[in-house]
Amino acid sequence: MNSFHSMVSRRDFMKGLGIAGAGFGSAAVIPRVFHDMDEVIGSPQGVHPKNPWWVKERDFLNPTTEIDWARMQRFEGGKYNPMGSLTLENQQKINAETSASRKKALLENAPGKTLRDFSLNMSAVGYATTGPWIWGPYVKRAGVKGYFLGEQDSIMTPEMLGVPRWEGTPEENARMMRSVFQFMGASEVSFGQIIEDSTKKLINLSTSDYGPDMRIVFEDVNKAYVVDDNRPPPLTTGKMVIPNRCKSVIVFKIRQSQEMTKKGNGFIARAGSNKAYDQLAITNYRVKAFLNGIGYEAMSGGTYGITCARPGWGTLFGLGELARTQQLIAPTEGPVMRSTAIMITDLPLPVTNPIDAGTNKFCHTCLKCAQICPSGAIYMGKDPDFIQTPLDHTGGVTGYPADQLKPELFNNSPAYKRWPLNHFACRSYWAINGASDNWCIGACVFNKFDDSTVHTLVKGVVGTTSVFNSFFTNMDQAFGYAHQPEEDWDNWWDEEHAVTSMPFTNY
Amino acid sequence: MWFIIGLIIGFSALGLFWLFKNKKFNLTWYEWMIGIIGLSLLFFTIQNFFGSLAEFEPKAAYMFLLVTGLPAVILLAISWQLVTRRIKAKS
Repeated sequence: MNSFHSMVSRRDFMKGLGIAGAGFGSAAVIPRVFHDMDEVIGSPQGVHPKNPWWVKERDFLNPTTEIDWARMQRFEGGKYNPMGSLTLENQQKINAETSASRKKALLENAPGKTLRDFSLNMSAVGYATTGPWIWGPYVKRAGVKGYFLGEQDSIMTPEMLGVPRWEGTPEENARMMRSVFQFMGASEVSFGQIIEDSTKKLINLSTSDYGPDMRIVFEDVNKAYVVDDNRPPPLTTGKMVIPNRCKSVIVFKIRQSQEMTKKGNGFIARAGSNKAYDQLAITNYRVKAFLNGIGYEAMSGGTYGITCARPGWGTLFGLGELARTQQLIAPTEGPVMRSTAIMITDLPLPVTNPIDAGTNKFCHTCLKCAQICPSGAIYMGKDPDFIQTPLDHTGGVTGYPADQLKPELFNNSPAYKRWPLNHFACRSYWAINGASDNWCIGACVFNKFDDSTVHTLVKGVVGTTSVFNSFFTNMDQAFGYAHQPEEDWDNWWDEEHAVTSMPFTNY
Repeated sequence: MWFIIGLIIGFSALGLFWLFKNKKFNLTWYEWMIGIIGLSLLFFTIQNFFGSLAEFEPKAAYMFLLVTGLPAVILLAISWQLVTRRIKAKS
Protein backbone atom coordinates (compact mmCIF):
# COMPACT_ATOMS: atom_id res chain seq x y z
CA MET A 1 0.00 0.00 0.00
CA ASN A 2 1.35 3.40 -0.91
CA SER A 3 2.32 5.78 1.84
CA PHE A 4 4.99 8.41 2.25
CA HIS A 5 6.37 7.07 5.49
CA SER A 6 6.46 3.75 7.21
CA MET A 7 3.72 4.03 9.79
CA VAL A 8 2.08 1.68 12.17
CA SER A 9 -1.63 2.28 11.94
CA ARG A 10 -3.82 2.34 15.00
CA ARG A 11 -5.36 -0.95 13.92
CA ASP A 12 -2.02 -2.70 13.43
CA PHE A 13 -0.85 -1.31 16.73
CA MET A 14 -3.84 -2.78 18.51
CA LYS A 15 -3.40 -6.08 16.71
CA GLY A 16 0.24 -6.13 17.75
CA LEU A 17 -0.67 -5.70 21.34
CA GLY A 18 -3.10 -8.55 20.95
CA ILE A 19 -5.79 -6.81 22.88
CA ALA A 20 -7.94 -5.67 20.02
CA GLY A 21 -9.25 -9.19 19.71
CA ALA A 22 -10.18 -9.25 23.33
CA GLY A 23 -12.68 -6.54 22.64
CA PHE A 24 -11.20 -3.66 24.57
CA GLY A 25 -13.08 -1.25 22.39
CA SER A 26 -12.24 1.71 24.54
CA ALA A 27 -8.56 1.38 23.68
CA ALA A 28 -9.40 1.73 20.00
CA VAL A 29 -10.27 5.38 20.34
CA ILE A 30 -6.62 6.38 20.68
CA PRO A 31 -6.29 9.17 18.12
CA ARG A 32 -3.81 8.76 15.32
CA VAL A 33 -0.91 11.21 15.47
CA PHE A 34 0.36 12.82 12.28
CA HIS A 35 3.85 14.28 12.44
CA ASP A 36 3.84 16.31 9.24
CA MET A 37 1.67 17.11 6.23
CA ASP A 38 3.19 14.28 4.18
CA GLU A 39 1.77 11.83 6.66
CA VAL A 40 -1.63 13.47 6.50
CA ILE A 41 -1.75 13.36 2.69
CA GLY A 42 -0.31 9.86 2.55
CA SER A 43 -2.63 8.51 5.19
CA PRO A 44 -3.88 5.07 4.20
CA GLN A 45 -6.95 5.54 6.37
CA GLY A 46 -10.09 5.09 4.33
CA VAL A 47 -8.20 3.43 1.46
CA HIS A 48 -8.62 -0.19 2.51
CA PRO A 49 -12.15 -1.52 3.07
CA LYS A 50 -13.24 -1.06 6.65
CA ASN A 51 -12.98 -4.56 8.06
CA PRO A 52 -13.58 -5.98 11.54
CA TRP A 53 -10.59 -6.58 13.82
CA TRP A 54 -10.22 -10.28 13.06
CA VAL A 55 -9.53 -9.69 9.36
CA LYS A 56 -5.81 -9.94 8.64
CA GLU A 57 -4.23 -8.11 5.73
CA ARG A 58 -1.93 -10.20 3.51
CA ASP A 59 0.88 -9.23 1.16
CA PHE A 60 0.15 -7.64 -2.20
CA LEU A 61 -1.17 -10.21 -4.74
CA ASN A 62 -0.87 -13.02 -2.20
CA PRO A 63 -4.47 -13.99 -1.39
CA THR A 64 -5.58 -17.09 0.50
CA THR A 65 -6.23 -18.64 -2.93
CA GLU A 66 -2.99 -19.73 -4.57
CA ILE A 67 -2.63 -18.62 -8.21
CA ASP A 68 -0.40 -19.94 -10.99
CA TRP A 69 -0.25 -16.86 -13.23
CA ALA A 70 1.76 -18.70 -15.90
CA ARG A 71 -1.23 -20.99 -16.57
CA MET A 72 -3.85 -18.27 -16.39
CA GLN A 73 -5.41 -17.26 -19.70
CA ARG A 74 -7.89 -14.56 -20.69
CA PHE A 75 -11.41 -16.00 -20.97
CA GLU A 76 -13.72 -15.92 -23.96
CA GLY A 77 -16.72 -14.59 -22.04
CA GLY A 78 -18.70 -14.42 -25.27
CA LYS A 79 -18.58 -18.21 -25.51
CA TYR A 80 -19.79 -18.77 -21.95
CA ASN A 81 -22.45 -21.46 -22.16
CA PRO A 82 -23.13 -23.67 -19.17
CA MET A 83 -25.49 -25.81 -21.28
CA GLY A 84 -23.02 -26.08 -24.13
CA SER A 85 -22.02 -29.59 -23.09
CA LEU A 86 -25.36 -30.77 -24.50
CA THR A 87 -26.32 -31.16 -28.11
CA LEU A 88 -28.29 -28.26 -29.57
CA GLU A 89 -31.31 -30.53 -29.84
CA ASN A 90 -31.23 -31.35 -26.13
CA GLN A 91 -30.71 -27.69 -25.25
CA GLN A 92 -33.88 -26.85 -27.17
CA LYS A 93 -35.75 -29.68 -25.45
CA ILE A 94 -34.72 -28.35 -22.04
CA ASN A 95 -35.75 -24.82 -22.95
CA ALA A 96 -39.18 -26.16 -23.89
CA GLU A 97 -39.39 -28.07 -20.60
CA THR A 98 -38.40 -24.94 -18.67
CA SER A 99 -41.30 -23.03 -20.24
CA ALA A 100 -43.65 -25.90 -19.46
CA SER A 101 -42.55 -26.21 -15.81
CA ARG A 102 -42.86 -22.43 -15.39
CA LYS A 103 -46.39 -22.45 -16.79
CA LYS A 104 -47.31 -25.40 -14.58
CA ALA A 105 -46.02 -23.58 -11.46
CA LEU A 106 -47.90 -20.40 -12.39
CA LEU A 107 -51.14 -22.30 -12.90
CA GLU A 108 -50.71 -24.17 -9.62
CA ASN A 109 -49.98 -20.94 -7.68
CA ALA A 110 -47.05 -22.69 -6.02
CA PRO A 111 -45.39 -20.72 -3.15
CA GLY A 112 -42.91 -18.22 -4.56
CA LYS A 113 -43.93 -19.16 -8.08
CA THR A 114 -47.20 -17.30 -8.62
CA LEU A 115 -47.76 -14.81 -11.40
CA ARG A 116 -47.00 -11.88 -9.09
CA ASP A 117 -43.76 -13.58 -8.02
CA PHE A 118 -42.81 -14.00 -11.66
CA SER A 119 -43.67 -10.40 -12.44
CA LEU A 120 -41.61 -9.22 -9.46
CA ASN A 121 -38.71 -11.30 -10.72
CA MET A 122 -38.93 -9.83 -14.23
CA SER A 123 -39.48 -6.23 -13.20
CA ALA A 124 -36.63 -6.28 -10.67
CA VAL A 125 -34.16 -6.47 -13.52
CA GLY A 126 -36.37 -5.15 -16.29
CA TYR A 127 -36.10 -8.10 -18.60
CA ALA A 128 -38.61 -10.57 -19.95
CA THR A 129 -37.95 -13.23 -22.50
CA THR A 130 -35.83 -11.49 -25.09
CA GLY A 131 -32.11 -12.15 -25.09
CA PRO A 132 -31.05 -14.26 -22.15
CA TRP A 133 -27.62 -12.63 -21.94
CA ILE A 134 -28.58 -8.98 -22.22
CA TRP A 135 -29.77 -7.95 -18.82
CA GLY A 136 -31.68 -4.90 -17.75
CA PRO A 137 -33.11 -2.01 -19.73
CA TYR A 138 -29.93 0.02 -19.54
CA VAL A 139 -27.66 -2.65 -20.97
CA LYS A 140 -30.24 -3.41 -23.66
CA ARG A 141 -30.65 0.14 -24.83
CA ALA A 142 -27.25 1.70 -24.21
CA GLY A 143 -25.51 -0.17 -27.01
CA VAL A 144 -21.92 -1.32 -26.76
CA LYS A 145 -20.58 2.22 -26.34
CA GLY A 146 -22.93 3.03 -23.48
CA TYR A 147 -22.29 -0.38 -21.95
CA PHE A 148 -18.50 0.02 -22.04
CA LEU A 149 -17.95 3.78 -21.68
CA GLY A 150 -21.17 5.09 -20.15
CA GLU A 151 -23.07 8.26 -20.96
CA GLN A 152 -20.12 10.10 -22.46
CA ASP A 153 -22.21 12.14 -24.88
CA SER A 154 -24.49 13.63 -22.25
CA ILE A 155 -22.01 14.46 -19.49
CA MET A 156 -20.59 17.94 -18.93
CA THR A 157 -16.84 17.41 -18.86
CA PRO A 158 -14.26 19.82 -17.38
CA GLU A 159 -13.28 20.71 -20.97
CA MET A 160 -16.84 21.80 -21.74
CA LEU A 161 -16.98 23.75 -18.50
CA GLY A 162 -13.63 25.40 -19.20
CA VAL A 163 -12.04 24.22 -15.98
CA PRO A 164 -9.10 21.89 -15.24
CA ARG A 165 -9.91 18.30 -14.34
CA TRP A 166 -10.04 17.14 -10.72
CA GLU A 167 -6.63 16.37 -9.25
CA GLY A 168 -6.02 14.49 -6.02
CA THR A 169 -3.49 12.14 -4.46
CA PRO A 170 -4.17 8.41 -4.95
CA GLU A 171 -5.31 8.19 -1.31
CA GLU A 172 -7.67 11.16 -1.64
CA ASN A 173 -9.04 9.68 -4.85
CA ALA A 174 -9.57 6.32 -3.14
CA ARG A 175 -11.62 7.90 -0.36
CA MET A 176 -13.57 9.92 -2.93
CA MET A 177 -14.36 6.85 -5.03
CA ARG A 178 -15.47 4.84 -2.00
CA SER A 179 -17.95 7.60 -1.15
CA VAL A 180 -19.15 7.82 -4.75
CA PHE A 181 -19.62 4.08 -5.15
CA GLN A 182 -21.42 3.71 -1.84
CA PHE A 183 -23.67 6.64 -2.75
CA MET A 184 -24.41 5.02 -6.12
CA GLY A 185 -25.40 1.62 -4.69
CA ALA A 186 -22.25 -0.41 -3.99
CA SER A 187 -21.61 -1.68 -0.48
CA GLU A 188 -17.80 -1.60 -0.50
CA VAL A 189 -14.86 -0.97 -2.83
CA SER A 190 -11.21 -1.89 -3.03
CA PHE A 191 -8.50 -0.90 -5.47
CA GLY A 192 -6.50 -3.02 -7.89
CA GLN A 193 -4.28 -2.60 -10.89
CA ILE A 194 -3.89 -3.93 -14.42
CA ILE A 195 -0.56 -5.74 -14.27
CA GLU A 196 1.03 -7.38 -17.31
CA ASP A 197 1.36 -11.18 -16.94
CA SER A 198 -0.96 -11.31 -13.94
CA THR A 199 -4.17 -9.34 -13.41
CA LYS A 200 -4.42 -8.33 -17.07
CA LYS A 201 -5.22 -11.99 -17.75
CA LEU A 202 -8.40 -11.61 -15.71
CA ILE A 203 -9.91 -9.28 -18.30
CA ASN A 204 -12.11 -11.23 -20.70
CA LEU A 205 -11.40 -11.44 -24.43
CA SER A 206 -15.12 -10.91 -25.04
CA THR A 207 -18.27 -10.40 -22.98
CA SER A 208 -21.21 -12.65 -22.21
CA ASP A 209 -23.49 -9.69 -22.94
CA TYR A 210 -22.44 -9.07 -26.56
CA GLY A 211 -21.05 -12.39 -27.78
CA PRO A 212 -17.66 -13.64 -28.97
CA ASP A 213 -17.18 -11.22 -31.86
CA MET A 214 -17.22 -8.06 -29.76
CA ARG A 215 -13.58 -8.17 -28.62
CA ILE A 216 -11.99 -6.52 -25.60
CA VAL A 217 -8.55 -5.30 -26.57
CA PHE A 218 -5.74 -3.24 -25.04
CA GLU A 219 -4.12 -0.64 -27.31
CA ASP A 220 -1.53 2.14 -27.04
CA VAL A 221 -4.09 4.91 -27.46
CA ASN A 222 -4.93 7.92 -25.35
CA LYS A 223 -8.69 7.47 -25.15
CA ALA A 224 -10.89 4.42 -24.81
CA TYR A 225 -13.18 3.81 -27.79
CA VAL A 226 -15.65 1.35 -29.28
CA VAL A 227 -16.07 -0.05 -32.78
CA ASP A 228 -19.57 -1.47 -33.20
CA ASP A 229 -21.43 -2.77 -36.25
CA ASN A 230 -24.73 -2.34 -34.38
CA ARG A 231 -25.86 -5.90 -35.02
CA PRO A 232 -27.90 -7.38 -32.17
CA PRO A 233 -26.09 -9.58 -29.66
CA PRO A 234 -24.70 -12.17 -29.73
CA LEU A 235 -23.80 -11.33 -33.35
CA THR A 236 -22.42 -7.89 -32.55
CA THR A 237 -19.01 -7.46 -34.12
CA GLY A 238 -16.37 -4.91 -33.22
CA LYS A 239 -14.08 -4.08 -30.33
CA MET A 240 -13.98 -2.31 -26.99
CA VAL A 241 -10.57 -0.70 -26.58
CA ILE A 242 -8.85 -0.17 -23.24
CA PRO A 243 -5.88 2.25 -23.41
CA ASN A 244 -2.73 0.65 -22.02
CA ARG A 245 -2.11 3.76 -19.94
CA CYS A 246 -5.25 3.10 -17.85
CA LYS A 247 -4.00 0.92 -15.03
CA SER A 248 -6.23 1.67 -12.04
CA VAL A 249 -9.04 -0.76 -11.26
CA ILE A 250 -11.86 -0.14 -8.83
CA VAL A 251 -13.38 -3.36 -7.49
CA PHE A 252 -16.86 -2.99 -6.03
CA LYS A 253 -19.54 -5.26 -4.70
CA ILE A 254 -23.31 -5.16 -4.95
CA ARG A 255 -25.32 -6.82 -2.22
CA GLN A 256 -28.49 -8.75 -2.73
CA SER A 257 -31.50 -9.08 -0.47
CA GLN A 258 -30.77 -11.36 2.46
CA GLU A 259 -34.48 -12.01 2.92
CA MET A 260 -34.97 -13.18 -0.68
CA THR A 261 -31.82 -15.29 -0.43
CA LYS A 262 -33.46 -17.14 2.43
CA LYS A 263 -36.33 -18.20 0.18
CA GLY A 264 -34.28 -20.86 -1.59
CA ASN A 265 -35.74 -20.98 -5.08
CA GLY A 266 -38.74 -19.82 -7.02
CA PHE A 267 -39.37 -16.54 -8.79
CA ILE A 268 -39.55 -14.54 -5.57
CA ALA A 269 -36.04 -15.67 -4.58
CA ARG A 270 -34.76 -14.77 -8.00
CA ALA A 271 -36.29 -11.30 -7.71
CA GLY A 272 -33.70 -10.54 -5.03
CA SER A 273 -30.76 -11.48 -7.22
CA ASN A 274 -32.28 -9.85 -10.29
CA LYS A 275 -32.70 -6.54 -8.52
CA ALA A 276 -29.04 -6.65 -7.59
CA TYR A 277 -28.11 -7.38 -11.22
CA ASP A 278 -29.98 -4.26 -12.24
CA GLN A 279 -28.24 -2.31 -9.48
CA LEU A 280 -24.95 -3.51 -10.92
CA ALA A 281 -25.78 -1.88 -14.27
CA ILE A 282 -27.11 1.27 -12.57
CA THR A 283 -24.03 1.71 -10.35
CA ASN A 284 -21.80 1.09 -13.37
CA TYR A 285 -23.27 3.81 -15.56
CA ARG A 286 -23.61 6.31 -12.73
CA VAL A 287 -19.99 6.02 -11.61
CA LYS A 288 -18.68 6.09 -15.18
CA ALA A 289 -20.60 9.33 -15.64
CA PHE A 290 -19.07 10.70 -12.43
CA LEU A 291 -15.53 9.87 -13.54
CA ASN A 292 -16.14 11.46 -16.96
CA GLY A 293 -17.52 14.49 -15.15
CA ILE A 294 -14.28 15.05 -13.25
CA GLY A 295 -12.19 14.50 -16.36
CA TYR A 296 -11.19 10.83 -16.32
CA GLU A 297 -11.72 7.71 -18.40
CA ALA A 298 -13.94 4.91 -17.11
CA MET A 299 -14.47 1.48 -18.64
CA SER A 300 -16.58 -1.37 -17.36
CA GLY A 301 -19.52 -3.51 -18.35
CA GLY A 302 -23.18 -3.52 -17.53
CA THR A 303 -24.38 -6.66 -15.83
CA TYR A 304 -21.85 -9.38 -16.60
CA GLY A 305 -19.06 -6.96 -17.38
CA ILE A 306 -15.61 -7.24 -18.86
CA THR A 307 -14.27 -9.89 -16.50
CA CYS A 308 -15.58 -13.26 -15.48
CA ALA A 309 -13.13 -13.37 -12.57
CA ARG A 310 -15.35 -11.16 -10.46
CA PRO A 311 -14.77 -13.07 -7.19
CA GLY A 312 -11.11 -13.22 -8.27
CA TRP A 313 -10.69 -9.45 -8.29
CA GLY A 314 -12.41 -9.24 -4.92
CA THR A 315 -10.12 -11.94 -3.54
CA LEU A 316 -6.96 -10.34 -4.94
CA PHE A 317 -7.68 -6.85 -3.68
CA GLY A 318 -9.22 -7.32 -0.28
CA LEU A 319 -13.01 -7.51 -0.53
CA GLY A 320 -13.20 -11.10 0.64
CA GLU A 321 -12.03 -14.65 0.00
CA LEU A 322 -12.90 -17.28 -2.58
CA ALA A 323 -15.48 -19.81 -1.37
CA ARG A 324 -16.20 -23.43 -2.27
CA THR A 325 -19.11 -22.16 -4.37
CA GLN A 326 -16.74 -20.03 -6.53
CA GLN A 327 -18.30 -16.94 -5.02
CA LEU A 328 -16.73 -14.30 -2.84
CA ILE A 329 -17.26 -14.43 0.91
CA ALA A 330 -16.90 -10.99 2.47
CA PRO A 331 -16.14 -10.54 6.16
CA THR A 332 -19.35 -8.59 6.73
CA GLU A 333 -22.10 -9.98 4.50
CA GLY A 334 -20.54 -13.32 3.57
CA PRO A 335 -21.79 -14.49 0.16
CA VAL A 336 -25.01 -12.43 0.30
CA MET A 337 -24.03 -10.33 -2.68
CA ARG A 338 -24.86 -10.67 -6.34
CA SER A 339 -21.51 -9.75 -7.72
CA THR A 340 -18.21 -8.04 -7.43
CA ALA A 341 -17.42 -6.01 -10.52
CA ILE A 342 -14.58 -3.87 -11.80
CA MET A 343 -14.13 -0.47 -13.41
CA ILE A 344 -10.91 0.49 -15.17
CA THR A 345 -9.86 4.14 -15.08
CA ASP A 346 -6.90 6.48 -15.48
CA LEU A 347 -7.69 8.14 -12.14
CA PRO A 348 -4.58 7.65 -9.95
CA LEU A 349 -5.46 5.19 -7.20
CA PRO A 350 -3.54 3.16 -4.63
CA VAL A 351 -3.84 -0.63 -4.37
CA THR A 352 -5.33 -2.61 -1.51
CA ASN A 353 -4.02 -5.92 -0.25
CA PRO A 354 -5.85 -9.25 -0.03
CA ILE A 355 -7.31 -10.32 3.28
CA ASP A 356 -7.60 -13.42 5.43
CA ALA A 357 -10.75 -13.72 7.54
CA GLY A 358 -10.46 -17.50 7.88
CA THR A 359 -13.41 -18.10 5.54
CA ASN A 360 -11.53 -19.88 2.72
CA LYS A 361 -10.06 -22.23 5.30
CA PHE A 362 -13.54 -22.76 6.73
CA CYS A 363 -14.78 -23.98 3.32
CA HIS A 364 -12.29 -26.87 3.45
CA THR A 365 -14.36 -28.70 6.06
CA CYS A 366 -17.84 -27.11 6.05
CA LEU A 367 -19.50 -28.52 2.88
CA LYS A 368 -22.96 -27.24 3.83
CA CYS A 369 -23.46 -25.69 0.38
CA ALA A 370 -22.30 -28.83 -1.44
CA GLN A 371 -24.61 -31.03 0.61
CA ILE A 372 -27.70 -28.91 0.00
CA CYS A 373 -27.10 -28.31 -3.74
CA PRO A 374 -29.89 -30.22 -5.53
CA SER A 375 -27.84 -30.70 -8.70
CA GLY A 376 -24.51 -31.84 -7.27
CA ALA A 377 -22.75 -28.88 -8.90
CA ILE A 378 -20.51 -28.04 -5.95
CA TYR A 379 -17.29 -30.01 -5.57
CA MET A 380 -17.28 -32.33 -2.54
CA GLY A 381 -13.49 -32.80 -2.22
CA LYS A 382 -12.01 -31.43 1.01
CA ASP A 383 -9.12 -29.38 -0.26
CA PRO A 384 -8.99 -27.01 -3.22
CA ASP A 385 -6.51 -27.72 -6.00
CA PHE A 386 -5.30 -26.59 -9.44
CA ILE A 387 -8.03 -28.59 -11.20
CA GLN A 388 -10.93 -28.26 -13.58
CA THR A 389 -14.31 -29.88 -13.05
CA PRO A 390 -13.64 -33.55 -13.87
CA LEU A 391 -14.87 -34.44 -17.35
CA ASP A 392 -16.87 -37.39 -16.04
CA HIS A 393 -18.61 -35.22 -13.43
CA THR A 394 -21.62 -34.67 -15.61
CA GLY A 395 -24.00 -34.18 -12.70
CA GLY A 396 -27.13 -32.27 -13.49
CA VAL A 397 -30.77 -33.14 -13.09
CA THR A 398 -32.18 -32.60 -16.57
CA GLY A 399 -32.49 -36.14 -17.83
CA TYR A 400 -30.22 -35.10 -20.69
CA PRO A 401 -26.78 -35.71 -19.21
CA ALA A 402 -23.78 -34.45 -21.08
CA ASP A 403 -21.62 -37.15 -22.63
CA GLN A 404 -18.62 -35.13 -21.65
CA LEU A 405 -18.37 -31.80 -19.87
CA LYS A 406 -16.76 -28.84 -21.58
CA PRO A 407 -15.37 -26.91 -18.61
CA GLU A 408 -13.68 -24.45 -20.97
CA LEU A 409 -17.16 -23.08 -21.75
CA PHE A 410 -17.47 -21.80 -18.19
CA ASN A 411 -13.88 -20.76 -17.59
CA ASN A 412 -12.99 -23.71 -15.45
CA SER A 413 -9.38 -22.58 -15.44
CA PRO A 414 -6.96 -24.84 -13.56
CA ALA A 415 -4.72 -21.83 -12.87
CA TYR A 416 -5.78 -21.26 -9.29
CA LYS A 417 -6.46 -23.45 -6.28
CA ARG A 418 -10.17 -23.84 -5.86
CA TRP A 419 -13.07 -26.24 -5.67
CA PRO A 420 -14.22 -26.43 -9.31
CA LEU A 421 -17.88 -25.66 -9.91
CA ASN A 422 -19.91 -27.64 -12.42
CA HIS A 423 -21.83 -24.84 -14.14
CA PHE A 424 -23.65 -27.34 -16.34
CA ALA A 425 -25.11 -29.16 -13.34
CA CYS A 426 -26.06 -25.86 -11.66
CA ARG A 427 -27.72 -24.48 -14.78
CA SER A 428 -29.56 -27.76 -15.39
CA TYR A 429 -31.38 -27.35 -12.08
CA TRP A 430 -32.48 -23.86 -13.07
CA ALA A 431 -33.83 -25.34 -16.29
CA ILE A 432 -36.10 -27.86 -14.64
CA ASN A 433 -36.96 -25.50 -11.77
CA GLY A 434 -37.97 -22.68 -14.10
CA ALA A 435 -35.84 -20.18 -12.14
CA SER A 436 -32.39 -19.91 -10.62
CA ASP A 437 -31.95 -20.69 -6.96
CA ASN A 438 -30.26 -19.48 -3.79
CA TRP A 439 -29.78 -22.82 -2.04
CA CYS A 440 -26.00 -22.52 -1.69
CA ILE A 441 -25.89 -18.87 -0.56
CA GLY A 442 -28.85 -19.40 1.74
CA ALA A 443 -27.13 -22.36 3.39
CA CYS A 444 -23.73 -20.72 3.91
CA VAL A 445 -22.59 -20.35 7.52
CA PHE A 446 -21.40 -16.82 6.68
CA ASN A 447 -24.68 -15.54 5.23
CA LYS A 448 -25.63 -13.94 8.53
CA PHE A 449 -25.18 -10.26 9.18
CA ASP A 450 -24.61 -8.97 12.67
CA ASP A 451 -28.12 -8.68 14.08
CA SER A 452 -27.21 -11.47 16.48
CA THR A 453 -24.02 -10.87 18.45
CA VAL A 454 -23.15 -14.55 18.27
CA HIS A 455 -22.19 -14.13 14.61
CA THR A 456 -19.55 -11.54 15.45
CA LEU A 457 -18.20 -13.90 18.07
CA VAL A 458 -18.08 -16.85 15.64
CA LYS A 459 -16.51 -14.80 12.83
CA GLY A 460 -13.91 -13.47 15.25
CA VAL A 461 -12.91 -16.98 16.32
CA VAL A 462 -12.91 -18.28 12.71
CA GLY A 463 -10.65 -15.38 11.72
CA THR A 464 -8.24 -16.21 14.53
CA THR A 465 -8.08 -20.01 14.53
CA SER A 466 -9.46 -22.87 12.43
CA VAL A 467 -9.62 -25.27 15.41
CA PHE A 468 -13.35 -24.69 15.97
CA ASN A 469 -14.45 -24.68 12.30
CA SER A 470 -16.14 -28.10 12.37
CA PHE A 471 -17.79 -27.27 15.69
CA PHE A 472 -19.28 -24.07 14.23
CA THR A 473 -20.57 -25.96 11.18
CA ASN A 474 -22.29 -28.45 13.48
CA MET A 475 -23.70 -25.67 15.64
CA ASP A 476 -25.03 -23.86 12.57
CA GLN A 477 -26.94 -27.00 11.67
CA ALA A 478 -28.03 -27.73 15.25
CA PHE A 479 -29.46 -24.21 15.64
CA GLY A 480 -31.47 -24.73 12.48
CA TYR A 481 -30.05 -21.89 10.38
CA ALA A 482 -31.70 -22.58 7.07
CA HIS A 483 -33.95 -21.27 4.34
CA GLN A 484 -37.46 -20.13 5.13
CA PRO A 485 -40.03 -22.93 4.93
CA GLU A 486 -41.66 -22.93 1.50
CA GLU A 487 -45.12 -22.15 2.93
CA ASP A 488 -43.76 -18.84 4.33
CA TRP A 489 -42.26 -17.53 1.08
CA ASP A 490 -45.33 -15.59 0.05
CA ASN A 491 -45.68 -13.87 3.45
CA TRP A 492 -43.42 -11.21 1.94
CA TRP A 493 -46.37 -9.78 0.04
CA ASP A 494 -48.19 -8.86 3.24
CA GLU A 495 -45.27 -7.69 5.38
CA GLU A 496 -43.94 -4.22 6.10
CA HIS A 497 -40.48 -3.61 4.64
CA ALA A 498 -38.05 -1.26 6.34
CA VAL A 499 -37.05 1.47 3.92
CA THR A 500 -34.44 2.95 6.24
CA SER A 501 -32.34 -0.20 6.19
CA MET A 502 -32.36 -0.34 2.40
CA PRO A 503 -28.61 -0.26 1.76
CA PHE A 504 -28.11 -2.97 4.34
CA THR A 505 -30.78 -5.45 3.40
CA ASN A 506 -31.47 -4.77 -0.24
CA TYR A 507 -28.04 -4.87 -1.81
CA MET B 1 -33.51 -3.14 23.07
CA TRP B 2 -30.07 -2.24 24.40
CA PHE B 3 -31.60 0.85 26.02
CA ILE B 4 -34.08 -1.32 27.93
CA ILE B 5 -31.35 -3.80 28.89
CA GLY B 6 -29.26 -0.85 30.11
CA LEU B 7 -32.16 0.38 32.23
CA ILE B 8 -32.62 -3.10 33.77
CA ILE B 9 -28.90 -3.38 34.56
CA GLY B 10 -28.90 0.13 36.03
CA PHE B 11 -31.90 -0.44 38.30
CA SER B 12 -30.61 -3.88 39.32
CA ALA B 13 -27.24 -2.40 40.28
CA LEU B 14 -28.98 0.38 42.18
CA GLY B 15 -31.16 -2.14 44.05
CA LEU B 16 -28.14 -4.26 44.92
CA PHE B 17 -26.25 -1.21 46.13
CA TRP B 18 -29.24 -0.24 48.30
CA LEU B 19 -29.36 -3.76 49.80
CA PHE B 20 -25.66 -3.67 50.56
CA LYS B 21 -25.89 -0.29 52.25
CA ASN B 22 -29.14 -0.47 54.18
CA LYS B 23 -29.72 -4.17 54.84
CA LYS B 24 -26.08 -5.15 55.51
CA PHE B 25 -26.49 -7.62 52.71
CA ASN B 26 -23.43 -9.46 51.38
CA LEU B 27 -22.56 -12.03 48.74
CA THR B 28 -19.80 -14.65 48.73
CA TRP B 29 -17.38 -14.72 45.77
CA TYR B 30 -19.02 -17.75 44.18
CA GLU B 31 -22.50 -16.22 44.49
CA TRP B 32 -21.15 -13.18 42.67
CA MET B 33 -19.57 -15.38 40.01
CA ILE B 34 -22.62 -17.58 39.37
CA GLY B 35 -24.91 -14.54 39.33
CA ILE B 36 -22.77 -12.57 36.90
CA ILE B 37 -22.37 -15.55 34.54
CA GLY B 38 -26.12 -16.20 34.69
CA LEU B 39 -26.98 -12.57 34.01
CA SER B 40 -24.49 -12.30 31.13
CA LEU B 41 -25.90 -15.44 29.59
CA LEU B 42 -29.42 -14.08 29.99
CA PHE B 43 -28.58 -10.86 28.18
CA PHE B 44 -26.74 -12.84 25.49
CA THR B 45 -29.89 -14.94 25.06
CA ILE B 46 -32.22 -11.95 24.84
CA GLN B 47 -30.04 -10.18 22.27
CA ASN B 48 -29.64 -13.27 20.11
CA PHE B 49 -33.30 -14.19 20.38
CA PHE B 50 -34.42 -10.87 18.92
CA GLY B 51 -31.44 -10.75 16.56
CA SER B 52 -32.29 -14.15 15.10
CA LEU B 53 -35.89 -13.13 14.55
CA ALA B 54 -34.63 -10.05 12.68
CA GLU B 55 -32.52 -12.38 10.54
CA PHE B 56 -35.56 -14.48 9.55
CA GLU B 57 -34.25 -17.38 11.65
CA PRO B 58 -37.06 -18.24 14.10
CA LYS B 59 -35.76 -21.75 14.81
CA ALA B 60 -32.35 -20.38 15.81
CA ALA B 61 -34.13 -17.83 18.02
CA TYR B 62 -35.91 -20.53 19.98
CA MET B 63 -32.75 -22.62 20.14
CA PHE B 64 -31.09 -19.70 21.91
CA LEU B 65 -33.86 -19.76 24.51
CA LEU B 66 -33.15 -23.44 25.07
CA VAL B 67 -29.37 -23.63 24.77
CA THR B 68 -28.31 -20.44 26.51
CA GLY B 69 -31.54 -19.11 28.06
CA LEU B 70 -32.29 -22.19 30.16
CA PRO B 71 -28.78 -22.41 31.69
CA ALA B 72 -28.96 -18.66 32.38
CA VAL B 73 -32.17 -19.07 34.36
CA ILE B 74 -30.76 -22.10 36.20
CA LEU B 75 -27.59 -20.23 37.17
CA LEU B 76 -29.56 -17.22 38.39
CA ALA B 77 -31.85 -19.52 40.38
CA ILE B 78 -28.85 -21.27 41.93
CA SER B 79 -27.32 -17.94 42.88
CA TRP B 80 -30.61 -16.75 44.42
CA GLN B 81 -31.12 -20.01 46.33
CA LEU B 82 -27.56 -19.95 47.67
CA VAL B 83 -28.09 -16.46 49.06
CA THR B 84 -31.52 -17.07 50.58
CA ARG B 85 -30.51 -20.41 52.15
CA ARG B 86 -27.35 -18.89 53.59
CA ILE B 87 -29.32 -16.02 55.11
CA LYS B 88 -31.96 -18.42 56.48
CA ALA B 89 -29.26 -20.64 58.00
CA LYS B 90 -27.72 -17.64 59.74
CA SER B 91 -31.01 -16.49 61.23
